[in-house]
Formats: sequence, structure tokens, C-alpha cells
Amino acid sequence: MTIFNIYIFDREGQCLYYDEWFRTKQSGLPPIQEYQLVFGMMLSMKSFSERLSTNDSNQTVNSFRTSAYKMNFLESATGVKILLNSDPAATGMPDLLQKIYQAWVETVNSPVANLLGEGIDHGFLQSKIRDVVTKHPAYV
Amino acid sequence: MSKNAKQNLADSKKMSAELFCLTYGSLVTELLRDYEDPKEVTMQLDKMGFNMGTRLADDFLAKNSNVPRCTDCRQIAEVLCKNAIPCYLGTTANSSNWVGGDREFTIVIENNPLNELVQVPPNLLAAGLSYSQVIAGAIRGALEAVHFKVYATAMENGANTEIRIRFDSVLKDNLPAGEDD
Repeated sequence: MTIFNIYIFDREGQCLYYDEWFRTKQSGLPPIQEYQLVFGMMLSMKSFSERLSTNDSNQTVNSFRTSAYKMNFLESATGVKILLNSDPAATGMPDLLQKIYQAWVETVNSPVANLLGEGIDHGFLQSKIRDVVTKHPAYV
Repeated sequence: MSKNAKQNLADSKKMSAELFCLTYGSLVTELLRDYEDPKEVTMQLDKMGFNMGTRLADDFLAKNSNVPRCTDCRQIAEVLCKNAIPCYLGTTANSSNWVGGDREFTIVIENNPLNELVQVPPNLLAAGLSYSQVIAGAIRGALEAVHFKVYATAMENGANTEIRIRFDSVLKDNLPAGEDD
């Protein structure tokens, strides 16, 4: 089992963070275009699943799975979207996504980070997220 | 104020309520000196609260993953009273006074920590100063971050603080250019 890569988007669809671990094949697209595709797909999945929903309940898309990977989603109520590609058999992904969200909030959202200016301390965020991901049992 | 938010984020240390209360008091005094108009001060407090609220929303959601998505005002009021206000102000609150088909309600904050050790001169209150408007602003900011547009005003009422909240609309996520739902 393994974890391949992660995208974090803000509510406007801008990719705030990208990282990868065991990604052996690249998409061959410029990164910006790849982020747009990934984000667009998530939006489409959301609207698609809402249209086809069989009742009115408030639902969220959690993941989709192919034979080679599983793409896990987390969208906070504030519109922050986290997408994580993992092995199809990986378990405990919702917990991991929640932990990544917490790490993101603690670094990007904290007043300490914002006192230094508008920019995000990318290195700090990266070390935090890498720490959370590499400690997860699904990361081997 | 940012100190207070930082404490909440860190969770490891607690800030003395007295220190917080007095710092806030001197902040308001300073604002009154700078702006000279109590109404303008209320607006500034609201703005500061709003900016805090937009950040607190993410912080709150990260800490409380079990809170469900709200679909109506009753649920919003319940989460505010039962989770958010105890978490950030360390005191209890209740919702009441529902009017307009559940679109308008009052949250009564008991023992508002901002008001302890503070006596606001009645003439300033009469001139339009709303001492705890920062809380109302924070609620407005936090709800706006989760796509609910509301209007919030704070009123002092003896030992309690009343926050009047009026629901306006549900905001839509703006889609990137070229996308339509």
C-alpha cells in the first residue's frame, strides 16, 4: 500500500499545495493544467452526483476508485478541498484527510503564519504534511 | 485579539481571562480615541471580528470534525451555542426570540468574558457603541466562510450579551471561469 500524491485547493480553485511520494508516471501536462483538470473533475463529480442523487439529503463525494488507485476527497464547509491519491486498498483515508486539514489550518491559518506577511510558509506546511502522511500506516 | 486566536489554535496554553478582557478594553479605548465616533468604533470592531471569524471557521471545523453540515438556522444556532461559543469564549449561550420563520434569532451569551471588569459609560452606549460587536463580527465572518450570509449586532443587557442574528441568504461557491454547473 502506498500514498501517491496530494492536492490542496482553496475555494476559488487555486492549487495551494502539491506533493507526491511514489508517483512513477507523470501526466505529461504542465502542472497548472493538471491542477485545473483535477479540480474541474472534482467539481463535475460533485454536480453529477447531486443531479443523480435519489433523495434530497446533503451528500458529499468521498472517493472514486480504479484498479490502480483511489482518489480520496475532503471538502470542508469553508470550501477548502483536499484530494489524495492512494493505493486502492489503503484504509483510514478519511482520518488522514482530516489530519491533513488540521495541519493545513494550523500552519496556513494561524496568526503566527500571517504575521509574517500574506505568503504561506511553504516549507513549514510541507514538513507538517509530510510528517502526517509518512506516519500513516497506509504509507509504506 | 490575535493572541486569543493563537491560544485557541495552540490549545496547549490558556490565556488568562482577565488579561484578555483588559487588553480588549484598552483596545476599544484606543479605538475610541482614534475615531472619536462610537458608531465608527462599532464598525471597526465588527470588521476586526469578521476577519477573525473567517479564520476561526476553518480552525473550528478542523477541531470539530463531527459537527454536521447545517441546513437551517436552528442547526446554525445550535452549533453556535453548543460548540463554537463554549470553545472560543469559554462560556455558555442560548438561542431565543425566533421570528420571521426562523430567519432571525437572538443568542444570549451568559457571563460574556469581554464584559467582566468593564463598565461601559452609558453615554457611549447611547451614542452607538456596541462594546462586544467583535463577537457579532466573528459570528458573521465565520458563517460567511461556510456560505451563510447573516447580519449580526451585539447588545449589552446587564450581565448578558445579546447577539441578534438575521439570516440573509446562502452564498454560492463561485466557479472558475468557463465552468457552469
